[in-house]
Amino acid sequence: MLDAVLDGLWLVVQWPAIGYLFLGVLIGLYFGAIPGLSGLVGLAILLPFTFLMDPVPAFAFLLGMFAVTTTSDTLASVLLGVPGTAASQATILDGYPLAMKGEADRAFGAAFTVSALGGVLGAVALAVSIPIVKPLIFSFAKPEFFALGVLGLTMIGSLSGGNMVKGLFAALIGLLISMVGYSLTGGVPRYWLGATYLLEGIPIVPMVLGLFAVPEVIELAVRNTSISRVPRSSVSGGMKQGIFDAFRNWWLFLRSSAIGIYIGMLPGLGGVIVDWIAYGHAVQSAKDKSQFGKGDIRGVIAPESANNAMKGGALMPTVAFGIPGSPAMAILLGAFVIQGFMPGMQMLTTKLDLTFSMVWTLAIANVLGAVLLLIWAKQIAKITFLPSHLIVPAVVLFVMMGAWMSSNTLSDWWSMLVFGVIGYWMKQGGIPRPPLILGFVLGPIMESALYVTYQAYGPISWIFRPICLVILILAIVTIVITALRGRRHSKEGSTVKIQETQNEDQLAGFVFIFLMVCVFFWAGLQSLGWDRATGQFPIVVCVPAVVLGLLALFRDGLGLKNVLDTSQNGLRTLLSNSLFLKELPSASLLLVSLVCIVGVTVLFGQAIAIPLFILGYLIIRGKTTWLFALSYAVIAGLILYFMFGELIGILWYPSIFIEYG
Amino acid sequence: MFTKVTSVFAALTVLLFSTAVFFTADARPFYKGKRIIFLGNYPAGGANSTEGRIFAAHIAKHIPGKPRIIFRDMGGAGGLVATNYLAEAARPNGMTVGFFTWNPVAQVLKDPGLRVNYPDLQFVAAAAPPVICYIRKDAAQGGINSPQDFFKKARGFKFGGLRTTSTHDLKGRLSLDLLIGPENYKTVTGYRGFTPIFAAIHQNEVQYHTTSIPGYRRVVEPTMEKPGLVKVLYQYETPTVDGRYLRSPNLPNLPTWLEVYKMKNGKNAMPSGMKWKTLKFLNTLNSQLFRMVFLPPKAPKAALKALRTAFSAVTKDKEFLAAYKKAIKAKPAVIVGKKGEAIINATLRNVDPKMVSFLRQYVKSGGK
Repeated sequence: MLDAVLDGLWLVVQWPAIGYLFLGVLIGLYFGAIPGLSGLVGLAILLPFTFLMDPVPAFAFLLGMFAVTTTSDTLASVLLGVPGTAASQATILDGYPLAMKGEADRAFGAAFTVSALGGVLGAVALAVSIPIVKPLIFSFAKPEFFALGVLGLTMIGSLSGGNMVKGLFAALIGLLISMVGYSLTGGVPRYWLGATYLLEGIPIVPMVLGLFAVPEVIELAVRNTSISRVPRSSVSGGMKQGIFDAFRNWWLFLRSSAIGIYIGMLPGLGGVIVDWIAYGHAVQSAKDKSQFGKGDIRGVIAPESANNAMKGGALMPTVAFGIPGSPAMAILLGAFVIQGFMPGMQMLTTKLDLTFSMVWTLAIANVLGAVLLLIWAKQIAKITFLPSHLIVPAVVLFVMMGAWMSSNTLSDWWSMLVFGVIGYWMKQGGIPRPPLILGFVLGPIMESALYVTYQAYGPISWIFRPICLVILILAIVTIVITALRGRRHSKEGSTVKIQETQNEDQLAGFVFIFLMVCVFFWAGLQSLGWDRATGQFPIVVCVPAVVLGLLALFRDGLGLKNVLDTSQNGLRTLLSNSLFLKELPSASLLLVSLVCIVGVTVLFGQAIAIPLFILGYLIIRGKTTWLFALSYAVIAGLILYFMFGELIGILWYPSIFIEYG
Repeated sequence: MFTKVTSVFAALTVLLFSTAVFFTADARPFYKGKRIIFLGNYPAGGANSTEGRIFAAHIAKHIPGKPRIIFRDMGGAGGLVATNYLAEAARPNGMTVGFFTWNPVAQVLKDPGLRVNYPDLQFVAAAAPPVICYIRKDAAQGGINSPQDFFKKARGFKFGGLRTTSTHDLKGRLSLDLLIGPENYKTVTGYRGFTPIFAAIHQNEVQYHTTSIPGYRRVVEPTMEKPGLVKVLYQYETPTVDGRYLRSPNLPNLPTWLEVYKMKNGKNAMPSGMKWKTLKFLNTLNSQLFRMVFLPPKAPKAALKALRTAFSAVTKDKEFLAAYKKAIKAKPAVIVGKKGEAIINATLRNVDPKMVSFLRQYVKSGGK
C-alpha cells in the first residue's frame, strides 16, 4: 500500500506530469474566477487535448484544472457578490458583506486556506475510503434523496434572516421556478410562456447572476460608493487574520469538509447544493448567530471548505465503481476509458499507483492554487476600495458575459435582467433571496426522487427504509429546534439578519408578495388542467404558497396600517419613506442601460455593445476623461476578444450589421 | 480599322480577364481562410459534445481550403434550442454547422418547442451508434444468463426511463410490449439522464435499461457486465430499404431484438400491428441517423458539397478512426448526403397519421 502511495507521488512529480499539473492549475484558476465558467466547461474543453497524452500527465492536467475552480471562484463571490461558480453561491452571503466592511483580504485568507485544506482532506478521504465506501453510496437511492431534500429545506430557517414565513415563501417561489419547462414526469411543458428557451427550465447561472449580482451592481451605481463602505485606513486584520480565522474554526472546517466529501460522493447531488448545506449547518450549529449575513467569517469558511472537499468525494464513486455522480465526473470517466482504464477493481489493485497519483494531484493542485491566490489576494482585495464608477463597468462586463455563456442566446440576458429586477425588489422588500435558490436547486431533485420513489417503491413503504427514517426524523428535530430557538431569539431580540432583512422596505415587500400570491394562484389554476403526475407537485407548492403569502401580507399589512394610522399624511409618509421608490429612478437608469446593451448587441454584437456601455458610463456617470474612458473600453474589448472569443471560444450573437467569426 | 482592332483587343482582354477571374474564383475553395462553428445541441461534457469534438478535430483537413473549426455547445430544451437557432438565427453562409443528436419524435408529435421541420434543414451526414438492452441477472429466480432466460423467466422487473416522450423510453417500451407483454414489467420514468439510471441499476431500484455503445463501453461493460451484475440481451436492429434487419458491425456477436423475438416465437414469426410499425419506424430513424450534421436551410450549395465530401473522406482517415475508437470504443457508422436525405424524406415527410395518433395515445399511457 505504502509503495503505491509513494509510486503515485513519484508519477505526479515527474516531468511532464508536474508541468501539466501546473498548467492545469493556472487554467482552473481562470475558469473558476470568471462567473459563468466552471470546472465542467473546463473539462469539456481540455479533454480532447489529452487524447494523445500519457495517462498520468492527462489526469494531472484535467484534475489539476478541476480541483482549483472552487478555490478561485471565491474572488467574484467576495469582491462582487457574484458567485464565480455554482459551488460558491453561499459564500456571497458573508463574503460580500466582509468586502463591504473592507475585509475582503481577510475573507480571502480564510477561504483560500480552508479551500486548500478542504481539498487535501477530500483527497485523503478518497485515498482511505475507496475500499469501504460502496455501502455508503449504494444505500442512498431515490427515497433517501427525497428525504435529504426535505432535510435541506429545513435549513430555510437558517437562511431566512429571522423571518421564517418570508423565508418559506421565497423557497416556494424557488420551487415554482424550478418547475418551469418540461415536467420530468410527463411530456407536458409547464409555465413555459411559449418560449422554447424555457422548455428545459431556467438555467441557474443567469438566474443567480440576476438575483445576486444585478442588485449589487444597481446599488453600487446608485449609491456611487466603493464596495467597501469604510476607508482603507480604518481596516485592521487582513489576510493573516483570515488564515488565523481558518485555524481558529478548525472544528467547523472539519465538519464542513466532511459534509462536502459525503455530498460529493452521492451521485446526482454535488456542487449546486453542497455550499448551501455547509452554510446552513454553520448557522444552525453556531451559538452566536448575530453576525451571519453581516460578514461572519464562519459563513465563508463553511462553504469554501465543503466545495473543495467535495471534489475528492465525487471522485470516489467514479474511480471505484464507474458511477459518475455529476456531468464533470462523466467527462472524467470518459477520460479513464479513453486512456484504456476501467474503473472498479482495476483501479484499486493493479492500477492503485495511478489512483494514488490522482489523490496526489488533487492535494498538490489544491495547495498550489491556494498559494498562488494568497500571493495575489492582498492586491486583488484593493479593488474593494476603488470608486464604484470604476468597478461597475468591469462587473457589468463579467456579469453579462457570465450569463451569456449559459446557452449563448439573448434569452440568457433577458432571463438575467428579469431576475435582476426580482432580486433587487426582494432585497429592498426584505424578502430573503437565499431560500429561493435553495428551493430552486432542491425542487427538481425532490420532484424526480419523489416520482421515481412512488413508482419504484409504492406510496408508503419507502418511508420506513432505515436511512430515510433517520433523515426524516433529523428533519423534524431540526424544525422543532429552529422554531424553539427562533422563539427564544425573538424574545431576546437577537434574530439573524441577512442583507435584505436589515433595511426592509415594507411597502416594496408587501407589493412583491401580493404579486407573487397572484402568480401562485395562476400557477395553481394552470396545474388543474394537467394530468396527475404533472400537476401534483405544482399543487403541493402553490397551495401552501398562497396560504403563507396571505399570512405574510396580513402581517405586513398590519405594519403598514400602523404607519397609516399613526402619521398625519399616512400614505405620503409611507411613500416618502420607501427607499425602493427613492432609488427607483437611478436603478431604472442602470437597468435601461443594460437593456440598451442588449439592443446594441442585436445591431452590432457584444464586442461593440459592451465597450460602448463602458465608454458612456465612465464619461457620463464617472465623469472621467475621454482618454481614460476610451482606454478602459479598449481593454474591455480586448478582454472580450481574447478571454472570451479566443480562449473560451464563445458563440457571439449573430448581429445584423457586423459578422463575428 | 485601328479603332476596330483596338475594340477587339479590348474585348478579348476583358474576356480573358473575366475568364481568369471566373476560374480563379471557382478554383478558390469555398472555405479557404474561413472559420466554421460546429454547434452541438446538448451541454458540454455529454456524448454529443464528445463525439462532435472528435469530428471537429479531424474534419478540417478534409474540407477544401482547410478552414479553422471550433466546436461550441448550446444545450437546452432537449436539443431543440440549438436546432431552432440553426434554422432561424444562424446566418445561412455555411459557417455554422449543426452537430445534433436529433429528436424526430418531437416533429412527429408536433412538439411546440421545435419550430423547424428536420427535412427543411440541409442534411450533410449522420453517425449512428448501436443501442443495446441489458438486465440485472438477479431480476428473475435462477438468474438471467441468456435471452431465453429473459423472455421465459423475467417478470415484474422495472425498466428505467427518462420521460414518456423520449425515443429511448418509447423504443424500450414498444420492444418489451412486443416481446414479453406490457403486464410483465413496469416503466419507472423521471430519471435525469443515463448516469442516475446506471446508479439505479447498481442499487437494484430498476433492473432493465437500454444505452448506446459509448455508454455500454464506458460504464455497462466494465462496471456491470464484466463483474457479472447484468446480462446484455440484444441490440436494436437496423432495418434496410430492401427489408433486411441487420446487426451493427460494432456488435457482430450480439443478437438483434428481432432475432430474440424469433427465438421465442419461431423462426418465421414476425411481429405485426401498430406497435411493431412504430418500433420499426423509430429504429429506421435512430439506428442509421442519430448524431446529425445539418446546415441551415439556405446555406450555399458549395458549402454543402464541401462538407459532404469531407465527411465521406474522414471516415477513411486513420487518425480520425483511431481517435474515434479510443474515445467511443466503436467504429463510426457514417451516412453521407443523399442516402441520409432519402431516409429523412421517406420517414418524416409522410408519417402515417394513424401512427401519430397511436404514438400520442401511447405517450399518454406513460409507464402505466
